[in-house]
Amino acid sequence: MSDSCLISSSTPAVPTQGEIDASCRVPVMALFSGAAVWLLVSAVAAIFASMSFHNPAMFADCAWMSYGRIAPFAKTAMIYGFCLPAAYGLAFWLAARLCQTRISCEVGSTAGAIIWNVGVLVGSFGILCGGSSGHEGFEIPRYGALILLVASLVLGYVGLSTIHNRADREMYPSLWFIILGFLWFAWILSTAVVALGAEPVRGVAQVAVQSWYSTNLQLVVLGLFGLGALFYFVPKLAGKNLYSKHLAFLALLSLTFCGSWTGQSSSAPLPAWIGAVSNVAALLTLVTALAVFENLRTTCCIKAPEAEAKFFSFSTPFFFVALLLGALAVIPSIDQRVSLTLYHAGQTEALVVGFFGLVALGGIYHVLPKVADIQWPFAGLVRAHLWAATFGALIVTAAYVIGGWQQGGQLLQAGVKSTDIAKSVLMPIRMASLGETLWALGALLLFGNVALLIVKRAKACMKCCETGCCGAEVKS
Amino acid sequence: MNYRSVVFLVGFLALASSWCGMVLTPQLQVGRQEITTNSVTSLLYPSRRPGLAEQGAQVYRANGCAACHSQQVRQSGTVFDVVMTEAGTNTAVVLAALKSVDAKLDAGFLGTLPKNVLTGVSKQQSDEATKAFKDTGAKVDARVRPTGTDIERGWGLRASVAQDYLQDSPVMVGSQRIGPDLANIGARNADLSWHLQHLYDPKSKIADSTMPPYRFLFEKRRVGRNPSPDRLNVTTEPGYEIVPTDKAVALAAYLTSLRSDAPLFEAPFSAPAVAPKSDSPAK
Repeated sequence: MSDSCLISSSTPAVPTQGEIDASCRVPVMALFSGAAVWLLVSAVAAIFASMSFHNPAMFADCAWMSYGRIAPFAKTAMIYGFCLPAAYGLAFWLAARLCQTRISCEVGSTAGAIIWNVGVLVGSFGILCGGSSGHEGFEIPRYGALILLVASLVLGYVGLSTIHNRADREMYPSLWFIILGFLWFAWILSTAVVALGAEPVRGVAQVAVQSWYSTNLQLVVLGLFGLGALFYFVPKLAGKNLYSKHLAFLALLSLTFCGSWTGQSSSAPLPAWIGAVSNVAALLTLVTALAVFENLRTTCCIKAPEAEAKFFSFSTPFFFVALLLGALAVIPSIDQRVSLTLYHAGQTEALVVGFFGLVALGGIYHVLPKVADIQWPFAGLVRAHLWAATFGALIVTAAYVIGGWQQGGQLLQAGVKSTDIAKSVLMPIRMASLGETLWALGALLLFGNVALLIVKRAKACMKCCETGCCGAEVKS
Repeated sequence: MNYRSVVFLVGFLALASSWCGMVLTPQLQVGRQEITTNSVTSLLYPSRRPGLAEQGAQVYRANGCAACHSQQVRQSGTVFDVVMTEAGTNTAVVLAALKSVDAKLDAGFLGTLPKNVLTGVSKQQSDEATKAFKDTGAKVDARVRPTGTDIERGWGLRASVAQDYLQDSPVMVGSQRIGPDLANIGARNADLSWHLQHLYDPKSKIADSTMPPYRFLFEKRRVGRNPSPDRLNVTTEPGYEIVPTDKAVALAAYLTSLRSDAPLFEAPFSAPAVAPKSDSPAK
């Protein structure tokens, strides 16, 4: 590892914004371009998965395309392929910008990004080949998870050492969230790798661990990275200061203390106290929702001219809705009705796709032109992607929540045959296909834009090398 | 206010507390459970699945069957049935006791036994009724009956509890019920050939099934000198037959091994006089 990778105790000279962006260029572009590819792959896979509900016999002869394989593949590609690399990319750029320092180890972070994408590739295709771990929310096979763990340690180290080298010792709220995001993910992933993979715990303790991991990943880790980004981008695009640091701290406190205890189903064959504690925690996460909503409502950026501002503005209600759906499911009569239904899939959709997906897309559209020093080839498509992604996430969330509610009502009537229940979920899942198609169209737009931007950047670099102006800034 | 130190402290405490609460404590409480001899059946419970069924569990895992099927029976409560099995010889005293329990009951009740004296009552009512028959010479049992829609559907006799999963790894309880619950599919239908045919063509067994066919688990091959004894009874091209692969047979063996119907201390029930029937094996 080069000297630049070591944590420096001396205060470095403050670099310019251009120098900071240039230092992030390769790792952030590697992470974002990988994210764009996996976003498209996951969106297309999700459409294929839903095809089983349009024509059950469509993939009867192809094991790879069967619903039980392609659906977890799509989820894995979405979370590990798109969400987390986008989170790391945004976190690196934010850390460097807010700390007014260059990224601490460009080579290490680029290597981390490559290792990460290899891990996702190996793990997700392992699922398609029948290597799923069988643990819901952590289907990625052991060999893929190990590669991801190594990559997360490398990426986390780079992020934390960048923050450690900051010029100003005072930390902006976004950095609190990002620091905890790096630490949190490494801890939960290592726990899952050991307790579900290498030395699996016995019996239903596995269910407790997989639910804990899954919730901590989707709510806490993506929540930390997502809110960290929102608390930076929203005030910046609104041209205001963040309304309240204290509210941001309250959001951090309640998200980490309460959010990390949620996700355990009260219907699962676990000791009753686990579901009860989890339900109380889910109710308390409303504090997070209210703190975030109040902070960002007062520092609203929806009227900002940049298209990405609307991604951030639309993501906040999804976060609120996701936590509200979780809190509502605490009420015993509702819990009894919606457990083991599509309702919770709708809540996950609101959180992962609606909230974090939109934050990540807004962040990519804002950051990538800056680090690449090239404008978007088709800037007009950003707005098209905004509407496709927002309506896509909204349709899928609504279809699953409403469908889950109906499904739960039928499950509570012993006289309704299971085939009738299965038929009743067809319509919501088919409706969700429409949302998934919109989301995939948006993913295609992002992929096209990112691919062309990278080509332009590569051409500009080659031109520079030919003319010997490699150090100069490239203007589009 | 500089939150730097506080943020680290909050992060560490929050993560450590959640890890201790939701990972370590469940492991200490249920992760160390041992397989024990069941006090009612005097057999080890849960018993290890046969080798073929163990292989089938891996086929179930590989194909993500848990994406649509749960393996957990829910229970909303417990009620008691008070059942008279023998009337004894002192009919007058028994009739008086019957009247004290339920004024509508008369001598005709004692005609054919066993019969429910009380159905679906609380523990207190059941105890009082049992006490009323104590010195009458009649034999009366208080039977525990779990309640809930899953049980009414015939998906199980009692709630699924931690003990049921001690032999499974990974534990695939599932979180969706797009299809029926499978915790007791082996108890509902132990016919291997039914499951094989259902996997190949679900509609051939359940006309309005929405389950995808798993034809990739079967081979379509030319009929040799003698047809395969394992061939499915389905129509296909003349001269060809459909034969299950090893994976299909293992999966069907796993499905037929799925049953959690032993009475346990934490999930008690009394075996019903007549087993409940579901309207179809896969209901």
